[in-house]
Amino acid sequence: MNTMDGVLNEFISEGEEILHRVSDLLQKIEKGGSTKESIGAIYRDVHTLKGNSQLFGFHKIALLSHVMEAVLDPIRKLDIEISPRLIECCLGSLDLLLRMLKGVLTNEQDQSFEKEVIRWVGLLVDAATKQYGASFRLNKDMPAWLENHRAIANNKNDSEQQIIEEVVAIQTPPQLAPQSVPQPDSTSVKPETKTHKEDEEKPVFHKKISPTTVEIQQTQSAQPAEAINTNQIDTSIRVPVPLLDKLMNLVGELVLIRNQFLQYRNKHEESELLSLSKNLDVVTSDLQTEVMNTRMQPIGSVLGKFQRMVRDVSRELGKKIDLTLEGSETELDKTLLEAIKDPITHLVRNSCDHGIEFPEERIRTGKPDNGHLLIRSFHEGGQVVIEISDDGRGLDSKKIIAKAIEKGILTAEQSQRMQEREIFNLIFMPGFTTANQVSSVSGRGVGMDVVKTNIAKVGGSVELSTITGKSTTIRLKIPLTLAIVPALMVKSGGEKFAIPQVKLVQLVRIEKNDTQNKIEFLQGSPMFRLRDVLLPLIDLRNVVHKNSTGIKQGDVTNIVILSVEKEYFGLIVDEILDTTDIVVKPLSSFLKHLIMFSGATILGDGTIALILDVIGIATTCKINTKKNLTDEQHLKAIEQRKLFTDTQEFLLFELDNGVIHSIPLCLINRLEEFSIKDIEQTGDQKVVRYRGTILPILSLNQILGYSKKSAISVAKEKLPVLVIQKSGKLYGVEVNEIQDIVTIDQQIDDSIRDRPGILGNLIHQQKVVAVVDALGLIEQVVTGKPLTRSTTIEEIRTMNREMKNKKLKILFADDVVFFRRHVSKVLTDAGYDITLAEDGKRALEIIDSSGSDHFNVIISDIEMPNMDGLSFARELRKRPKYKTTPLIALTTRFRDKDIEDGMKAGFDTYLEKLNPEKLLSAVSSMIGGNA
Amino acid sequence: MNNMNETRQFSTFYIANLLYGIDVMKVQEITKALPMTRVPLAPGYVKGLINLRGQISTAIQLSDLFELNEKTPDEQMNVVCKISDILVSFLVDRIGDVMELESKNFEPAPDTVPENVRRYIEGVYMIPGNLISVIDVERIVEFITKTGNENQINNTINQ
Repeated sequence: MNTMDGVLNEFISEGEEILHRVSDLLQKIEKGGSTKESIGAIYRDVHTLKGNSQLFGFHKIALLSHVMEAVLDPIRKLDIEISPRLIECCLGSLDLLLRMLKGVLTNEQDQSFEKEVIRWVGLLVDAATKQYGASFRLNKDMPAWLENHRAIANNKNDSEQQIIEEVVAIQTPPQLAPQSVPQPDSTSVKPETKTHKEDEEKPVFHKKISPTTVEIQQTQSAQPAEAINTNQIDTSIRVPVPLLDKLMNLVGELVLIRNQFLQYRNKHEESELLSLSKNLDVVTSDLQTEVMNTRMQPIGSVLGKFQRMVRDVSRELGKKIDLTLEGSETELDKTLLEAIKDPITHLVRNSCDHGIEFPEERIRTGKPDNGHLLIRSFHEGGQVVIEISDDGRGLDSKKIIAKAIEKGILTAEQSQRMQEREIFNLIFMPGFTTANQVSSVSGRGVGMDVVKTNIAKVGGSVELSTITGKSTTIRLKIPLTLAIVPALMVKSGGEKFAIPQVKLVQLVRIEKNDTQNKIEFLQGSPMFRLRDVLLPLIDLRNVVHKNSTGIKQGDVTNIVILSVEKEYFGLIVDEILDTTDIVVKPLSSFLKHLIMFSGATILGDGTIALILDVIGIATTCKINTKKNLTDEQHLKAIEQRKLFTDTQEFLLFELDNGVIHSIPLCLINRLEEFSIKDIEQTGDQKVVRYRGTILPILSLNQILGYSKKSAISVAKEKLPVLVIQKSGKLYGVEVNEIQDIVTIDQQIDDSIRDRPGILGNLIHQQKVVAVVDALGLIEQVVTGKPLTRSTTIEEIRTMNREMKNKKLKILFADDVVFFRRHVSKVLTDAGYDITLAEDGKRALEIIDSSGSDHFNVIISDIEMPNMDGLSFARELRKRPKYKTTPLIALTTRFRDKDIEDGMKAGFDTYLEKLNPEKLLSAVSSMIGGNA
Repeated sequence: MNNMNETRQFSTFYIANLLYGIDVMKVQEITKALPMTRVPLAPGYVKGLINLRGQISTAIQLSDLFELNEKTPDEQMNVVCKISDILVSFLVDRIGDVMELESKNFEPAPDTVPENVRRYIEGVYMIPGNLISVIDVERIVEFITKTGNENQINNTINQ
C-alpha cells in the first residue's frame, strides 16, 4: 500500500475515534452536568482534529472543527455550563464531520458538503451568540477557502453571524434562498441516506434519542461508507499496542524454548531432528525480528508530514519558511511516536506562527527573508533527542512577564525575583500564549502546556533555550524505554554488559608483549596512546566491582573506545562478545540512582544484561566531559574520529586461478548458499528463485575470464553466492568459496590492474588480494557493453555513503490515483524516496517549495488536468536548478509527433506506463549519468 | 457480617521461620527460584534481576531488607508483585497457604517491633498459634526509592 494512503487511513480512523469520543463526552455532560476536564478533553480533541485536517488539506473539516473549538472556548475558559442548544449543535456538527471524514475515502470531496458546513457553522455561531451574548465572535482569520469569498474581507467588523449569512447567500442558488439560520432546514440533500432523510435531519449523535436508536441510526448512516472501507483499507489493520507487547513477550518465551531445544538437539544425532530444529531456529529468529519491527518506525514517518504542513502554514501566514529535517531515520517505538506527534505538531506550528517573523520584519533586522526551521533527531545519552529550532525572533522575557502578570499567573513582585530561564519556562503554564492575535494556526494557548504534559507522560522532558531576536530551540528528550538500540556485548568480572553502539568509537586489543601498543601510566592513572591522542582508561571491573586487580602492562587487554560528547576514553573489559540489537527496559525506580546503568535488556538466551550508561560511567569516574575544547581541538577530535572509523570491510573469496579476491562488504546485501539442484536456466543465464523474484547468477570466473566453466561444476552441493544490489535490483555472484570478512584500513593499490573488472590490490596477511569491481561487472553483463574503466574505490565509497545517507529523491506527477500508487510502489521498493503530485501545477509547487531539497529525477504523465506534462516540462526547465535534471515522460502516447513534442518541451526520454523494469533501468541509468 | 468484620485474603510465606502475608490482590504470581543477574553497586537487599517471561523483575531479599541477619536457604521462592507498573520479586524462604483473615483479629504493629521492620508492616493478624505480619509492598518500594535517591545525593556530595 502506498504510504500516503496509509497515512490518510490513519488520519481517518483517528478522526473517527476523536468524533466518537467527543460525542460520548458531550452526551455525558448533558446527562451529568459539565466538568472542567471533559470540556478540556473535548476542546483538545477538536483542536487535534482541526490540526490534522489542516495538515491533509481538508479545509472544510478544519473549518467546522475550528468553529466548534471557538464556541467551546469560552466554556473552557470561564468554567460555565454549556447550553443544551449548543450541545445539540455540536452533536450535529460532529455528525457532519463524521460523514465528511468518510467522504474522504470515497473521494467525495469537499464540494458536496459545502452548504452543510456553512449551515452548521451558522447554527453553532448562533447558539454561541445566544449563550454568551452578542459580544461573541470568531477570530478573524478563517481558512483559505472561506477567504475566497469576499464576504470576509469586506465585512471584517460585522458579526460572524452576518458573515455566515452572506456566505450562505453567495453560496446558495436563489431557489434555495438563505435560511434564517437556527431552523434545521431541508436545503441540504444528503447523498448517502436519502431514504432516511427524516431521521438524518436529526444529528446521529442526537441526545434525545434513546441509546438503542442511536446505535441503529449510526449503522444506517455508516453502512454505505463502510462497504467501501473494506475494499480500500484491507492491507493494514489497527492493532492495539498491548497485543503487540503480549506478542513480543510470547516470542521471547519461544526463543527461550528454541534455545533449550537446540541444546537438547546437540546431544542427539538424528538427521530428521537436525533439519527440523534448524528450521525452527530460522523461523523463530525471523519471527522475533518481525515482531520487533512491528513496533519500530523511523521518526521520519511523523516528521515527513511537516514539510507539507510548514508549507501550508507559511502560505496561510504570508511568511517564507524552509524546513530541514535531519536524522529522520532514527527509529522510535510506535507508542512513543504516537505520543510525540501532537506535541511536535504544536511546536512546529508555534515556531511558524510566533517564532519566525514576517519577511519585512526579517529584512529589517538584517536576516534573510526566508525563515529557517530545523528538526533534528538523534540518539544522545541513551535518549532520543528531537530538536526544533527556528531562527526567528526568540522569546522576549519582558513580554512574557507582562503577559503572565496580566493572566494572573504571577505577581509583579514575583517576577522581579525570577531568573531568565524560569521566565521562559512560564510559557509551559496552562493557558499561556504570547501571540497578540489568536490565530487558527497555533491555538489559544493549548499548545505548550499540552506539549509538556504529553512529553512528560512518556517519561521525556522539554527544554527551551532562546536568544532574544535570534533563535529559539526546543529540545524534546524522549527516553529509550521502548526503543531498540544496537549494542556491543562485553564481559567483565564474569558478567555481561551491553554498551549502546552510538557511543562506540573503536575496539582495541593489545596483545601480550605488544611493544607498539601498550598501556602507560600517568601519575598512576592508566592511559593509552591511540594515534597520538592520549586517552584516559577506565577498568570496567573497577567501576562495577570496586575491587580491581589493577591494570598490568603486558597482559592481553581489550579496550573499548567510547565517546562522550566531545571527549574520548577507553574502557577496559575482560572480553568482547558480539553486537546485537537490544530492547532497552528501564530499571526499577529504586535502582535509578545507579547512574552507570541506563537500563537492562533480555538477551537471546533468556539471561539479563545491564546496559552501561557511558555518560554515567564518565561522571562516576570523573572524566571531565564538560572540558571546553577550542574549535581547533574539536576539529582535531573529529578528524581523529574519522580516522578511527575510516576503514573498510572486505569479503574475501577464492576463484579458479587460486588468487584470493575481495569485494567491499558494503556492496553486498547478503551471503547465500544455494543448492545446486535449485539452480535453473533461462537461455544461457543461470537463475535461482529467490524471495519471490528471479535472481540471475553471474559467474566471476567466466566474466573475469579465468575459466569457461562456472563454479557450479566445482562446488560440491552448495553454491556460495554473494547477493549484490544494483539500481534496485538484486544480482547473485557465484564464487568458489567464501573465506573471510576482514577489516583493512589501507588504500587500494591500483598500480596493477591486469584486466577490466579488477580495481587493484590489497595486502592481507602477507598475501595479495585482488579487489573486484562488482558493480562495474554487473553493469557490463546487464548492458552487454564491455567495461572501459573500472569504478575507483573512492567512487564506491562515495556511492556507499550516498546510498546510506541519502536516498535518491524522485518526483512523480500523474493525475490517476492508480498509476501514482503503482509507480510509487515500484520506486519505493527499489529504495528511492518518492514524492507524488496529482498534476503538473502541483508538481511545480512542490518543486518550488522544496527549498534546499533537490529531486534527482522527475517523472511525469503527459495528459493531466490544470497543467499538462508538456507545459510542466517547459516550466521546469526554466528553473536553473532543474535545467539538466533527468525528466522522464511516462505515458501511453507514443506517436513520433508526441515524442518529438515531448523532447522539445524538455523531456529526456519517453517510457510506457506499467513497465516497472524499463522504468527502473531508465531511472538508474539516468541517475548514473547525472551523478 | 457487619462492616466491623471484613475479611481479606493473604498470600502467606515464611522468612526466617516467621509468618508474613501480602494481600492476594497485589500478588501477581509465585514462582520457584529463577536465574538472577546481579546488579553491581546496588544496595545489598537487591539480589538481582529476573527474567519473568520477557519482563524484568527486580528481586528483593526481604530478610536483608528487614535486617534479620538470618541465613537464607539456597533456593528461595519468588513472590512477584506488580507495584505501580514495576515488577518486584520478594524472595522468601517458604510459601504458606492463602488465608482468609478477619479484620477483628487485626492489630497495628506494636511499637516494640524494630523500626526497620515496622516501617514496612501494615499490622498484625492474630491466628490460633501464630501471628501474621502484613507487608505493605507499596511502602517498601516507596522507602527504598527514597533511600536510593538519598544515596545518590550523598555520593555526589562525597565526590
